[in-house]
Amino acid sequence: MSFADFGVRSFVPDSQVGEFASHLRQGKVMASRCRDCGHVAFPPRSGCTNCGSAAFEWIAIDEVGRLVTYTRVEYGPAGFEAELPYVLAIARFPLGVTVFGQLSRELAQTQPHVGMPVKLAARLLANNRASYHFVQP
Amino acid sequence: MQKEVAIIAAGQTPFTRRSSSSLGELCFGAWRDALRGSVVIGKSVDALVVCSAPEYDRQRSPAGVVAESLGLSGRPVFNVESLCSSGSSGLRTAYSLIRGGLHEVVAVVGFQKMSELSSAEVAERMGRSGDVMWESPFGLTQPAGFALFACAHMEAYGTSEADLAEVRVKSSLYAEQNEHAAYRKRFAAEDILASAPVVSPLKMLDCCANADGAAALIVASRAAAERLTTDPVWILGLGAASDSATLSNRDCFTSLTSARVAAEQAYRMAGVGPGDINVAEVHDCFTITEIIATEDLGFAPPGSGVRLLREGQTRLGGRIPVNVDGGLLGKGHPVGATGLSQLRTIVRQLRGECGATQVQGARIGLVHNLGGPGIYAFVTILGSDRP
Repeated sequence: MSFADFGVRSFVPDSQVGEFASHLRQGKVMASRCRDCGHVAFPPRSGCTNCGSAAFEWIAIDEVGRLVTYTRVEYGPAGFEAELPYVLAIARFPLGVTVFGQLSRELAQTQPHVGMPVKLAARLLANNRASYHFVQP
Repeated sequence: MQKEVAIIAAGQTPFTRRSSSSLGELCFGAWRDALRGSVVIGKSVDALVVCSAPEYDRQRSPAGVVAESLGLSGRPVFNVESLCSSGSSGLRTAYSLIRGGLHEVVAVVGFQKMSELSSAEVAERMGRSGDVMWESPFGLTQPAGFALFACAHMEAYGTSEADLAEVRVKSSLYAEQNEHAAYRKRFAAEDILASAPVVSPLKMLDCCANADGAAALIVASRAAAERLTTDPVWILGLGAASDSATLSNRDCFTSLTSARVAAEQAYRMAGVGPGDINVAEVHDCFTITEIIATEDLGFAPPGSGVRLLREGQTRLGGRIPVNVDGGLLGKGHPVGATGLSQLRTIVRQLRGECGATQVQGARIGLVHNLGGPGIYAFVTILGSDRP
């Protein structure tokens, strides 16, 4: 699976961290970790912004995080008509990363609130595409 | 206080939902309004900075077309872009061209003709306003980005939807009196609270709307300013900063870090503090943004922007009148023109030209201009010589 298949709609076909999409297919949401200084990055980066190294490895974000903020979107951009309404959210994880994404349909239907515990899960979409969303731990 | 570079002329076209002018004609309108018949100032311009967000333009590389429309072909021309703060990027560019000694008098012209795009094209661009690699695939839009800040601010400080509505109530009061504003209807809090939900907690009337328009400034060295005008408005302080385009690399959602940094720089350069500002224009692309801006600028402590607003301190007659021209909410938001329109309002305030919305005795004014949710932030402090 290539990075062009990431998300409901993608705009960037190629990336040195394109393998992120293949990990999604295997059910894993990954961050990158610099092999030289250990700096963890999300979104994943092939080049370390801390030490300049280009050597990185993958590390799964499989812990429970907390919701920092969210918004229910009633008007979406082109390509998201079938998703509406959807909830965009930001959560922080003990690994030291902050992640942006959508809440799962089930979670969006509950009353989301700041501080709510969430986990990341891969989300398989139509047309062989894949994404991730926040789910109940 | 340093007085090395001045704004010697400022103008704009009316902002409208749909203009019947081409982009060159719009820019000419703003240029003509700035010059007020002074051929001498127009002829003294030796460089042009054009500000626009090109994703809205049909014209590729519009700077050359704009120069030609103003009769400035032959001079060096630069195009600058930083989304909605392109105008402030243009002013900073002009300032450094003058301070660097390359030019003496620089025109800064910003425009956007947003109505040239179809609604489908607008919806397509809406989907590319965040980081296209990591955040657009989830359906992030510009309003949703700011809504995430609104939710966090409400959670941290108890800010309510009724508080947000109060920002629009104030802006509509002043937009009604601004003949250059596109949206001049007066609103009550109930109207705003009853408007259609867009991105919770923001509703239709919490959001500024697209507009067509242009604005222009003429910026000059001290020597040129003293030669060309008796009423210069000095650039006392400039601040500029940026922050990550991906929201997942932000530490804070109750404040815009870049705006706080830009404000500190501008205050330090000008040698003044928040209490010295007599009138301010802040980037109210959404109601929440005005509340956060008053906190980031130090007009109120973090979490107290609502109190400042509710006490009427940001209205005419208050401690620090904010957006008494109607702001982006009232004027409409032609992206490349917005920052220059904010600067024009402060120039007019400092020259005592604002009639019914004049802040009496205003001598120091401030402009806060954002690009995206604080991806870019500019704070500019202006001062007049008037007694």
